[in-house]
Amino acid sequence: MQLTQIFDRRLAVGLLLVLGALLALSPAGLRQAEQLSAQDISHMVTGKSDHVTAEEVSAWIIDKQPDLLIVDLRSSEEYQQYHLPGAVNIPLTRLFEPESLDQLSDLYTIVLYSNGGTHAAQAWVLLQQMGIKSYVMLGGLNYWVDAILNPQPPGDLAADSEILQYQFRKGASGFFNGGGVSVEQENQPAQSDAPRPKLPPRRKKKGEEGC
Amino acid sequence: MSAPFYKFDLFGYETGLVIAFLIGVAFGFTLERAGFSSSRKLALQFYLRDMTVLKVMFTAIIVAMTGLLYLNLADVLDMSKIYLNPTVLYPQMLGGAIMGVGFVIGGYCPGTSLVASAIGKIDGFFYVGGALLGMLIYGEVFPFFQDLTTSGAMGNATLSDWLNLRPGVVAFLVILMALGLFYVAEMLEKRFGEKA
Repeated sequence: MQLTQIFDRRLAVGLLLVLGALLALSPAGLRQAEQLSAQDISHMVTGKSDHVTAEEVSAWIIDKQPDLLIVDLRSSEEYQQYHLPGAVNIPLTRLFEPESLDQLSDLYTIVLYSNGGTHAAQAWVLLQQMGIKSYVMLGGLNYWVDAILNPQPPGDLAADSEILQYQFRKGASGFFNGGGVSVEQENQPAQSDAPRPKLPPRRKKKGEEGC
Repeated sequence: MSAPFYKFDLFGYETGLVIAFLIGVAFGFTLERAGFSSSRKLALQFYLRDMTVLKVMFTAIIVAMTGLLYLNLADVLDMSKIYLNPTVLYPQMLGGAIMGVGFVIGGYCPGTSLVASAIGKIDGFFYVGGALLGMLIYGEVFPFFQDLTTSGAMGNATLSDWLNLRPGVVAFLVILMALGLFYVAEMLEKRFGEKA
């Protein structure tokens, strides 16, 4: 039997008109998801989709990812002393003011950091509830200084993966320290002859969709 | 609401690629079955003798539109989380015109040329090769066009925002438009088609 015999044309046209007319009377297309529940957020935390490592962030900076927005949540005095290259300073107390939120467009991969990890993680939860997707830099600036700026060589019995990680950090450290310049003088443009570290793949995010 | 699944982190990037691959295969298969691998059939569209392309494409549009809106009404799908291709008016008008001319000359659009290549049509291979060459040239002369690529940028523009109507009302108007065009298409086929 032909399909055209099952679906009569007049029936199809009538059905479409009824479905369309019902849509015209309905609030279809305007209904939005409610805020994330505490359970949704805890799933994201345990699923580790809430954070990036300092190594990933360093690779993105070195690679000049155009959509990277690094947010320094500390006070402006601390920001003046040292901050990640390219980071913008939005102290946590001002994060939820409209002009600050305007900067957090979803076209960016937003990375939050504070000194430890606590403030950044708290800001992450609050932003998540407002529907703004971001990542916490794991370990905060303390870990960044230890691991990226002053990496310690692994011991003699280290596994290959540890040695690789050290080599990456060493290369990144050359980049961020501007070739031997100490942390305090970091504000100079970063230049380095250190070997370019191998970059981990970037996380896929919204702005890259489409054909 | 639990969809779009990817946006709600129900699966990751890699799974998304696998799903996209499966949907792509189904899409290509359907296009082939609708006869879209034949450049002759596709070109007949422009001589108003075979309006299959218009009918298939517009059917796909209204089925998808109606389905998405009803899923939203049923609180399954959050429309605001669906990716929209941003509207950049002038380059898209120019690109549309170039693609249309290419469609008339070559008998394929980019998607159907891949469908034709997949079943081994030689003209399809030539079309895909031409498209890749065009992309390479565009990439090389891109700085020349850079200002054009952002002219008339309107962000995520939708008909309902532009007309200031609810999405459901716009959907109803699009359905009426589709039915009108189907009627006109059949008239044209009767008048110009091969078999009278």
